[in-house]
Amino acid sequence: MKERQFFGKPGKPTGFLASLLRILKGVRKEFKLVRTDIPNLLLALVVPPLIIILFSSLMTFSSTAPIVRITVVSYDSNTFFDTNSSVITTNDNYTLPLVGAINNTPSIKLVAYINASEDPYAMDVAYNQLLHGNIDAILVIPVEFSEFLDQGLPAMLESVPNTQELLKVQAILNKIQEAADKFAQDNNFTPFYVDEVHQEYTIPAHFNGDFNSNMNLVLPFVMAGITLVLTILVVVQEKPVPRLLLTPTNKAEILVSKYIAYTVILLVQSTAVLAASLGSGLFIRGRAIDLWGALMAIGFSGVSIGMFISSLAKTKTEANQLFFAFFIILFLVSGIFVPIEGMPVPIRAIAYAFPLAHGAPLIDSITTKGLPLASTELLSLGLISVAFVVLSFIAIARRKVEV
Amino acid sequence: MTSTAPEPSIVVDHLDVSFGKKKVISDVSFKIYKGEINGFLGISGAGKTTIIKVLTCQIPAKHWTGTVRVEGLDPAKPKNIQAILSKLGYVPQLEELNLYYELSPLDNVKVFAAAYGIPDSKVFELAEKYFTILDIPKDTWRHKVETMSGGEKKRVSIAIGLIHDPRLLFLDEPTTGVDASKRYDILNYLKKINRQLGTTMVIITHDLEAALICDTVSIIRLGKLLEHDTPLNLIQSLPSQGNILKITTPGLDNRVFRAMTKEPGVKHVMRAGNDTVEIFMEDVEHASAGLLERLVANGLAITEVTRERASFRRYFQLRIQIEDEKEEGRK
Repeated sequence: MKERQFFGKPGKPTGFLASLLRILKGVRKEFKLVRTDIPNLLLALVVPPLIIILFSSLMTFSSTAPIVRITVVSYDSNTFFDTNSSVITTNDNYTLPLVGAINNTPSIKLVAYINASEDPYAMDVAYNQLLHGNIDAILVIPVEFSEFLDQGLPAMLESVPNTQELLKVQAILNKIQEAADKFAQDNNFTPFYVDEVHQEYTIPAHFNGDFNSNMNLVLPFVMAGITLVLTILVVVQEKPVPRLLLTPTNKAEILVSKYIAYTVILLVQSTAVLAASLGSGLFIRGRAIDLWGALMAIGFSGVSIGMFISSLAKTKTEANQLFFAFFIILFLVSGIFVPIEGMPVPIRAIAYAFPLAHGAPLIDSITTKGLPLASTELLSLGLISVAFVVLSFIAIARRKVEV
Repeated sequence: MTSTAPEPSIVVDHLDVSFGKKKVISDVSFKIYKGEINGFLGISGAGKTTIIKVLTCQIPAKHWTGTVRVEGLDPAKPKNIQAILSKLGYVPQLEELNLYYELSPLDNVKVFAAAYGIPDSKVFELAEKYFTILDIPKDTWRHKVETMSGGEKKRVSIAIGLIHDPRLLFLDEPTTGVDASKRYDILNYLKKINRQLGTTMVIITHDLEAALICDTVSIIRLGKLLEHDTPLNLIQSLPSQGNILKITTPGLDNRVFRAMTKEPGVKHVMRAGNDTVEIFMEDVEHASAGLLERLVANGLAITEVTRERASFRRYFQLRIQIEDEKEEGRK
């Protein structure tokens, strides 16, 4: 019988090039299989951007309103004794202009102005409002406010923000500071300060700061989660794998084909998620390409964990169970409930072995601080991915496969 | 003009397979020649699949000893495994292990052809060749396998096993799960492929009808090879070269049955129905008349007597029965 001429030596489909061709043909097979599972494909490509759009919609219509409600309590009309000049004054010339400026600030709603010199229970009233959630902060104008401004000195305002929701505190303070800065600038005063630390990396006013801060957790979750779900069954549910192994194909070639195919899908997923995020108003101080790279890095860690689970599990049920276990751990040690720095050292070690502990800070550093992609977080994600890739090849090599 | 001696496709010599302390295959030796169809017969658990797994490189060398050659190559050596696998084809019992149900038959051919390094340009030609031989309807070639009938799936599965023109094809229970009426069709297709392409085939089965197309059969029992020969030779090894006496007698009971086994010249007696027995005896042509006279004289009412040639099924059953009786005797 005449030898069939194959790529490579006749009748001998071995060697690197033959292996490479089998891998490429294996990638083609993977895409064909992916295309046949439309629900899974929709899950992979359509759901992540939909989650982002839904989340941004929720943030827009949520109770976390961009408007900060303030009650101003002024002591400016009280008697001020200037120890330097030994002069007693009751100057409050700038109180009402400041209150007016605050009232005219679009992102602030002035709920009440109380002159403490006329109402000795002014702070009680304001605290009561704060207690019952009627305002987000009390702004106190101290007794020396107008006097200091007259002398060209920097005045100080005091604020009492609602600290029940820590994420909002800085946003509240920033809005008050912005109003104060505008007033000082408009009237050519020395800038004065609100007595909380002014955060340097603020989100510009026309972006939704809450959306941005929450996206630092949502984005890594979406990328890691969706890639994990997509890959946990790819080895275990492919029934002809044992039969394929009775050909010159080997286990490593099969797994490499899958990694390539699902990385290409990840490229599309990352692009879709980035587009949805930007379209939904995500502010990025850094470069969009760096954010895309971060999404890819986090997503690939999910792919590698999913491939490991699929290579390890003997049945689909086992794969689903392993997925559940991994995802629960991923979720619990992500830092969303307890800051990672506050965890006991052994738990912290587990947290750092999973991608979200690095993915969230990486995205935060790019979006909020404008730092580049190349960072220790990217390196950590890379190491995690490499570790799970290696584990997946070990798992599939040890997998007993017989027809 | 001299004829060349047939070359062996498979050589097995003193094969033992053990897993831990348990020996599952004991001292098996046989040869299968190129172009032959060999039937690997035995009840479930006999060890057929284990031997085939050695030949298909699925059991590591640490678990077996002896000499094995598949198309001239030793499967004990890792460097030979890819070469052996490229020369053999395998058709598993379950089609779902051999086919991507989500893909069409043509796409399945592409997947497995790629595994053997067959260029895409050749795929349609190959698919057309084997699909035509196996009568797979052309209008199903581009639709998902899951939409095909069971018989069509079985034939596509066989086509996949042949796609790279293997020298040697293993088929695991090719007729199991197939309608009785279709079973002969499958066997005929296999015979047709063997004649047209010269493919050596090893059919693992407990369907004795498969022996109809086999050039040789290997009977496995409890990890041992009982027989390896042509079906004709095996039948002719029976008393009277396989010629049997078939008697129908109403009211056949165990007493009568036992009495028959004790008759002079009678080697074996097997039931062939409620009232019918088949008697294997020496020189049946001349001794049968005397036997019948004695039975009638003992009060046996005989309503029908025929002389027939034993089927292979009958040979197999008798052979296994003999071994079982030896085993009982040893106990």
